[in-house]
Amino acid sequence: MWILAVDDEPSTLAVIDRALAGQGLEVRSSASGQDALDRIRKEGLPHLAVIDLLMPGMTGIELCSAIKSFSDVPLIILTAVGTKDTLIDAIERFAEDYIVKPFDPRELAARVVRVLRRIGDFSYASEPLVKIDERLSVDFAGQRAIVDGATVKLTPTEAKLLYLLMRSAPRPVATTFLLQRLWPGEEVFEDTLRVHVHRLRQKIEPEGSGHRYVVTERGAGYAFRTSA
Amino acid sequence: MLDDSTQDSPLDGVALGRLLDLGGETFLAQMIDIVLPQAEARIAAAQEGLANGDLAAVRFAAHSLRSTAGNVGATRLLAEATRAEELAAEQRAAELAPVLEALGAEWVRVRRSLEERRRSLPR
Repeated sequence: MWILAVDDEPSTLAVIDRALAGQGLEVRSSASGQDALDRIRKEGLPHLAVIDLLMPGMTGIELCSAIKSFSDVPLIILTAVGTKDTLIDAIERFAEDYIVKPFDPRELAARVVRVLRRIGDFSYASEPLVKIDERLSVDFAGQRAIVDGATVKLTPTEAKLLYLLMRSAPRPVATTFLLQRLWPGEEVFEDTLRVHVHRLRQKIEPEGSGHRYVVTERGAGYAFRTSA
Repeated sequence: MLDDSTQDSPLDGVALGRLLDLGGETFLAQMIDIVLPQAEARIAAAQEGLANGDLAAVRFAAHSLRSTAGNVGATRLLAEATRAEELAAEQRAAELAPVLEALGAEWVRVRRSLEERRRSLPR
């Protein structure tokens, strides 16, 4: 598993790297939000990202927002006292957890491991282009799918929906959970989700074969399947 | 036993101990090598920002310095940097000059301690 650490302060990156390496995790560092996004586009989605809130250029909030627009990668916010309003906003909208600087490296490691345990393994998403099978591959950061060799553009919501379903595959994901993760803090109804599922299916499902990938599980939600 | 835990030292022995626990003397040496030029640059950036009336630059430099100071247990430097960041965020330029001066003076103490510690660590 690899962790993306984003901070403009090199000694903090060094501490994160050392603390998480001790847990058997690979850390890839970025000194800015833009560099982090470029890295995701090139190297694929990390299993988790640790992001400093206040950075010059693209802020931590902007980076969190960008990542969450096309995926549901768990985020841990690094913050300092004095940025409380921003922190509350970040936690409500994006973050799984937060840690206040200066921090005890062991505490950071414990929090990262706890979140990773909760989400389970999603190792195949750590490539830029995730190959599902012979006809379908997905590039989450690029918000596109390759279907039978042709590029199909996905909307951010479709990319994130696909991410959420694939992360739990083959288990079904509850409709209520999908609504919460796709539109946090918003009142969005099941019909809207159904429309997005329908559009996603139109883009990735083979014609005339029913629902091969995104399967409706009556009373449970939706599941992602990789076999016909 | 870390002699930095004495009352006069600008470095908190507990924080340095954590770095030693994390990666031994080699890692502590690596951290000091990162922190020395980094903190120096941040202090210069804060002073330059104030001279140019660019309080956003002062804020970012002070914010970054807080992390740097916190990582090596430079508690007073951390407190001065926190104060500088707050003043810069609140656009209180007039009050920043003495704070940056105090911050610079504390950095001299911290740097001396770090350099002394570095001499006893692996090259």
